[in-house]
Amino acid sequence: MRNVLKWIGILLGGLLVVALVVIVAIFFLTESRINETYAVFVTAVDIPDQPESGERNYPSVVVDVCRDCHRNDLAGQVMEDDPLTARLVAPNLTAGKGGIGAEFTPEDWTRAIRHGIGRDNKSLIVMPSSDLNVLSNTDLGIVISLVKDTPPVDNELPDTFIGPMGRIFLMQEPGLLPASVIDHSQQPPEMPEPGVTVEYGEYLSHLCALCHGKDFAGIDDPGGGMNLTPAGDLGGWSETDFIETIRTGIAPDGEELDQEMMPVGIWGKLSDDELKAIWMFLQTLPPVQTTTTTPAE
Amino acid sequence: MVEVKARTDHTNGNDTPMQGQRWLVLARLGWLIVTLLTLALVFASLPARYAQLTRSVDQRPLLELGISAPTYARYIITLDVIVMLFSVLIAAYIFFRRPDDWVALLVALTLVTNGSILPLAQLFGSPDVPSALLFVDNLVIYLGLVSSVVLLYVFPNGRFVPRATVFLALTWVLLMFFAIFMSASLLSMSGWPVLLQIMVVAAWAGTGLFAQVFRYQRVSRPIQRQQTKWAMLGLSAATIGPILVLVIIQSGGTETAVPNVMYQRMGSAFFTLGFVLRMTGVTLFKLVSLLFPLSFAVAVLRYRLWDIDIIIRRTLIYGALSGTLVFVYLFGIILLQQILSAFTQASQLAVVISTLATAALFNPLRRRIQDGIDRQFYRSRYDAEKILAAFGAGLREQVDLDELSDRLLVVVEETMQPEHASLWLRNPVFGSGGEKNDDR
Repeated sequence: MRNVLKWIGILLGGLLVVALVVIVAIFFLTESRINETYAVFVTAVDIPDQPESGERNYPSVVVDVCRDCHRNDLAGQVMEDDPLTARLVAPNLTAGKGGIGAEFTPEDWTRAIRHGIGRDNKSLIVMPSSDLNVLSNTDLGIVISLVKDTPPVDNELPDTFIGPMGRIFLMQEPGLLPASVIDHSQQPPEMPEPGVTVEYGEYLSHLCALCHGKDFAGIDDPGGGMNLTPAGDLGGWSETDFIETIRTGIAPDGEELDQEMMPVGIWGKLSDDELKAIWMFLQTLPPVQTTTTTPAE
Repeated sequence: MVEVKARTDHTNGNDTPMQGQRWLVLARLGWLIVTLLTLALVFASLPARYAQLTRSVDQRPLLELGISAPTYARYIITLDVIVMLFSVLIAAYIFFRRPDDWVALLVALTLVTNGSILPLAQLFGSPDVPSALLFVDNLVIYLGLVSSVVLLYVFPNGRFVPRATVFLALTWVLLMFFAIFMSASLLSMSGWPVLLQIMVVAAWAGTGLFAQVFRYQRVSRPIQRQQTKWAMLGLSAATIGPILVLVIIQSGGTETAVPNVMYQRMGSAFFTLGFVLRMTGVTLFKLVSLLFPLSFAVAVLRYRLWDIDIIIRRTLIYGALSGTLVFVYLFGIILLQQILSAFTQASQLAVVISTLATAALFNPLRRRIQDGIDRQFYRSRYDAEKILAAFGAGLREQVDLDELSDRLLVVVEETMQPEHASLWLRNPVFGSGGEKNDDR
């Protein structure tokens, strides 16, 4: 019996050592990923002194999407603070105290937005750069100019921190470190000629993929967007229905969309032509048969 | 025959009687008013709190878990009400059992105010609550924050120990006054950096706990030590309260919902896990805060006082044992499943092996934990057991009666620590059979 207990003790001791090794390994693996540096060639972007996009509202809508995380005044905020998972901080983008606006060069802005890389050449954490690198040089320049044009706000924030459970997620979801999944050699897209065309609609719709999925067939998670393909939730809608819904937040069946899930206050600022182009593009998508259950429905 | 005259304590009476009938009546009246106000405020604010909880909670993790916002709100409110009612119940019991003891009245006040401090702190500055009610809310929060720290300095005999804690108590009273009633003032902690606020609160809670340890080692009589032991258990839980209250007040008591773009970017599982961990923490905190009324009830009322050591010791031993066994069991299953998945699909084998290993481990682990805890916290018991074991082993080889008598007296003194011990043996008397009796 003593021998059995001795061996059980050795086995359990061994298991504990293995567990400790796994925990330490996860820490160092994720730490090496977090601290990995990226040397990328940053394409020069012209940043206009006066942000001007003519009839197009798309660049200012993109900045409004930034405001969703970085706060309305772009002064940043702590979005999630949990010691076990993560403290997620959207930094202060203004030139105020605690902000990055005063010290960021045009290259720094481009590197962060397009490549997901900070000034220290390390990947930013959870910055949706892989979705924002669909902006043309012209639009990126206007977006940066609009951000720089924001009045300075003093707001000092703590650093982003990934807790032990968050590190396990980081192992499984490399996209949380955007620089690790972006093809940095890819050339920025050319903006199609603005107008009510499928090509321009496709260009404008890239950001919709953030919540509606890469194939626009919706995401079946809480808060996930609905199926935008012709076989999906917008199947019976007309162009007018679509524009009205985006403008008012009320679907053709009278149901009110949840503003936090589908921020119509932001997307409703797109011009009629821009919304028509998006609708035109959505009609060309291959139909996908899925139904999504989201709070927006 | 061994005579053992044990030291006795006669402290079961009232240690801190309140002098003067007028003060006594005022103190009782004050407690009754505060209790009624607190109860009325908490119950009157329940609809506003319910609305606030259903409105502020992030619906997305709830949807993932299949829980509705009203169910979530009812759960939190139920926990709050249980803690509050339990605290008030114990406070009322103490109040009616010891109405002439001012420390007992202070404990009763601390229980009432701290038992409801968290739900009341959520109302701090809330636009849903009328300003007159907010003043009462602030008053109860203030009394709760002050009494929980002052009690650490004066429990159980009503004197400030060490003496310097009087100044600490006064400073705390002022600090809390500015923090709660004059939040725009420079002296108000609510305008200070959060880290500094937490450091200040932790410093005062720390001095309170130090005062209790100091008192335990230098001042307390044996029965007061027993009281302090219980009080330490409850107060350790209670001191977390002020820190949480300040954090809640600082954050405005509402959770900011993660923007949906970020939510989708990270994936719902990430935030659902965070929500579950937070809810587990909230539940555990509420349950731990029940230790405060429970331990004080036992400490003040001295209910089965001399069983305290046994209860605490068993709690420590079986708590540590259960925790270790659960960890070993779950970790064993996870690891064995990973290892065995290369050879077989069935996961029952991992469960069986892990269960058998855990069962085999029970007794040896219990002995080791018991030894460890006795060595750390119950030194005298540990030493006594060792001394008795050594004495028992030595008896087999000992033949000299004088030496045996001396050793027996030494063992009695070392293990039982009586005030006086003597050994009486009958002188030897030769009986008819020639046997020798001894009488000493």
